[in-house]
Amino acid sequence: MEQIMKKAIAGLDADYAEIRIERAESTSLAYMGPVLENIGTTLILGGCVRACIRGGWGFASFNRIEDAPASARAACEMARLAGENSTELAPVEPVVATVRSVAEIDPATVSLEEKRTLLKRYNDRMVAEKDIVTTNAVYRDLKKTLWLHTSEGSMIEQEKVYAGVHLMAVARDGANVQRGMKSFGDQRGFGTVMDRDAEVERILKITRDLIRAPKVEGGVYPVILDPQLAGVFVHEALGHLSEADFVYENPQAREMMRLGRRFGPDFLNIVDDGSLAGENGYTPYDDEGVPGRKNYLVRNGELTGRLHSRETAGKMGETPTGNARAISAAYRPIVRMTNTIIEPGETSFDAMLDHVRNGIYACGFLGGNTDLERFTFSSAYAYRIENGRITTPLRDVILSGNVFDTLNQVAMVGNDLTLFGGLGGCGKGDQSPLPVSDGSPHICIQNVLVG
Amino acid sequence: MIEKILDITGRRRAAAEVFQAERLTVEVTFEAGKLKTAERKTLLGAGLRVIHEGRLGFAATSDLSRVEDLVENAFSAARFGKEAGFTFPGPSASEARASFDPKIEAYTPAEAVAEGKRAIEDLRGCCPKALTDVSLAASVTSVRLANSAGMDSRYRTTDFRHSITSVIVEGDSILWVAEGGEYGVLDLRTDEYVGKIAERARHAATPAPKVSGKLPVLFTAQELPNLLQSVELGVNGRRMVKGDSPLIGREGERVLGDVTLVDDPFRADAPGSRPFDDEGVASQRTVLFENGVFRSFLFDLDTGAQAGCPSTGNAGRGMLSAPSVAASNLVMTPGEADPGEMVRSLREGIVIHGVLGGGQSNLLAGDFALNVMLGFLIRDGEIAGRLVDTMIAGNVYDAFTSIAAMGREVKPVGSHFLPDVLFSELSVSSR
Repeated sequence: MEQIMKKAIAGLDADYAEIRIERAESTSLAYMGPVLENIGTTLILGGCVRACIRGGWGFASFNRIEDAPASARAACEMARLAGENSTELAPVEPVVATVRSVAEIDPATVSLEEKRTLLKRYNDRMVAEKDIVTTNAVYRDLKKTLWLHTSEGSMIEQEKVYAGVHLMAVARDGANVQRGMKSFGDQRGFGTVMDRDAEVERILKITRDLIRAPKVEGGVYPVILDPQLAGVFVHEALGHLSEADFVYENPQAREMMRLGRRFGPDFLNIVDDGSLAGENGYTPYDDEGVPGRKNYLVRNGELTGRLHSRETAGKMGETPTGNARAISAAYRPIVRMTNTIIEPGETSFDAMLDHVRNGIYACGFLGGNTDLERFTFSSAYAYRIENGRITTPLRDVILSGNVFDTLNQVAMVGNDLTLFGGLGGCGKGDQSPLPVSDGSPHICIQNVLVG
Repeated sequence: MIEKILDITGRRRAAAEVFQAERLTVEVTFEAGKLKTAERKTLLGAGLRVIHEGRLGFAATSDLSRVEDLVENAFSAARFGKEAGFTFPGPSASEARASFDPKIEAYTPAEAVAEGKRAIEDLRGCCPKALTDVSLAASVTSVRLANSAGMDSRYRTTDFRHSITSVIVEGDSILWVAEGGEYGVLDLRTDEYVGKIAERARHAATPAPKVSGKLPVLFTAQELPNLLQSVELGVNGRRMVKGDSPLIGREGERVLGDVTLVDDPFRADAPGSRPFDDEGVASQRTVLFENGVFRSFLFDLDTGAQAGCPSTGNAGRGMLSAPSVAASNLVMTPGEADPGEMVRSLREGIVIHGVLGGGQSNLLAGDFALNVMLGFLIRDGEIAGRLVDTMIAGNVYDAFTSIAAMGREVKPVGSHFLPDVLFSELSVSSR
């Protein structure tokens, strides 16, 4: 492969060029109700060449390896068309490396029968529950090898293994249809999906709670977010805003996101950390060959950093952070998060509850979105908090607000950091889903608009 | 390759279906007013379904050199696969045609660059505070579908996607104003998009006073799919056979107001038109709602077999994924109202140009709660400013039974063709 890659981009008349090739195999199974609706294996082979000439990028993708040289020429031709200024990529040391997967049990060594038996066990338990009308139980694994070669001399081979399950139970009472669900997935291997029976019981409990839960009464409440929802909150509220491709060409956005600006209370610390081995967003090297690392976005409440590609770092005079990622070799790398985390504080969950007289405990994640100024997202399930105690279940707890205000309203940060990966991921532009983890301890936010 | 696969599967006494697609895309992207990227992308893939000893197996590959592995994987899957309640269809014919425009096939990156620059120059002139992203993409997709029942058909189709997004950052305020479309033929609407963006950006400069309560809400066609998604889920045959669609057993019942919604793969030049669906079933027109009366679910072969109905020709699939139920083009019959007149008729109401969805626990039941990204308050028929921190909520089925007016023009929104719809009242709350 190295020879093919070297040959393809050797002698290209470009300021910079890279070739990426990916070979992968993915197995997925899906139950809906008692029926195994889908089972199959997909083989993937593809690659791309990206070239930069006078600041313009050319990109060409291919599936047949023998098309690599023609794609390299096409990428150059495209780059010449797009180039109108100057190429400013932040300098990095060329890397020659081979990275093996950190997975303990490679799902490729587990038989299809064993995968089915495991998923069926979880699904059978949900189907057997009397109020459950249907289920959705999905297993997916992906093993891939990625090769990257740059015209600056980097040559990196990375092996990555993902495995995960998504489990959902659906209860129906007339037109009221409620779902309890959980998703587990990361790069630790098949072990991640094993022994989740207790979580299946949790899902059933949540579903039973939801189907009898009243709709939340809209209003402004103090809200405690569980670690999963708090992780999604920080991803949506600050993570996307920290992606430098939004600010690097926009002077007003640069001013809004100036380093040193206050974003929250002194005890708020937020990082994006691509170096966390085994996490869903673990990125030993990004798709430009920059090593993943721990980047502080907010430290002691002040904005201290942002996420970069080599281009955004070069144009802003900052250091690349290892956040140029593509969902596959058919796409170009863009600035993305890896594992985005609120660092733990000192408050225990019980102490946090104690502070809330009339509020909401919002848990899990159903969906969410941001336009960078505003965010809106739904918890998967929720409870009322009355005088420091968790009481009745609530449904349709949708949180929305202004990013800048809401981060300043964080009143307490817990001491129980937990990270969540899962089978889905993050979407941006036309690239979805990209594997990421989000994590946080429990956090308490003072005034949140709940719909 | 297809011949070889069908040969192997036939010798192993399996029925088989091969779906093969190849997509070529030319795309040009501008960021913040600067030309950034020109791309020429190829994507290909093949999916194989076998029915072996009565069971269904699926496998896919984008590595066309691994035919034996593809076949082996499909047979492995069939060992555990569900019982096939259907057989693959023989050769089919319908009058429906995939959109194909030679001008898209011939579209060059240089043309896209020129078109993008024109939009950026124009917006720089009329909207100097905005920085504009533009993307233009022209694709040609070739599809071939063959099966052991004798079907072997192919078509080529084109699509063109164009988007213009202006962003205005002032202090901590971020305003996005976007326009765009997806078409089966080359349909350059730069001037229209630029004009609309400039107009909305101008209106957005004034913040609206806070409003709360039940108000008439005008959903522009572009934003209507956010509401229709519940109905689309409801008519999906998969949800019917799984028992969680609220439309089960309600055929012939008036479920919506005066709404006629049709799945129409015959619509000329539309991106969802095609002669046969992704399982080879001949395209057909299916009335979903007729003047609000629920008429039919959408089925593919599998869900149709389970429901005891024929497929409605509504199988869709990605290049590397198994087929599932999908609409072709969803067409809503327009009303008679003049769009400007609908706005002028409002004593107090709002117009929605962009929303942020946050997921909903009860999407199937039709509940929605949307954060208004870009919307205007109307007072006495005039725009009275941009709504800030405003949510709209309600139930889709309720909303569609209280329609005050519908626009007389059907607008293309991807593979949806929809009028603007004025709902009599939705719950609105500003913080």
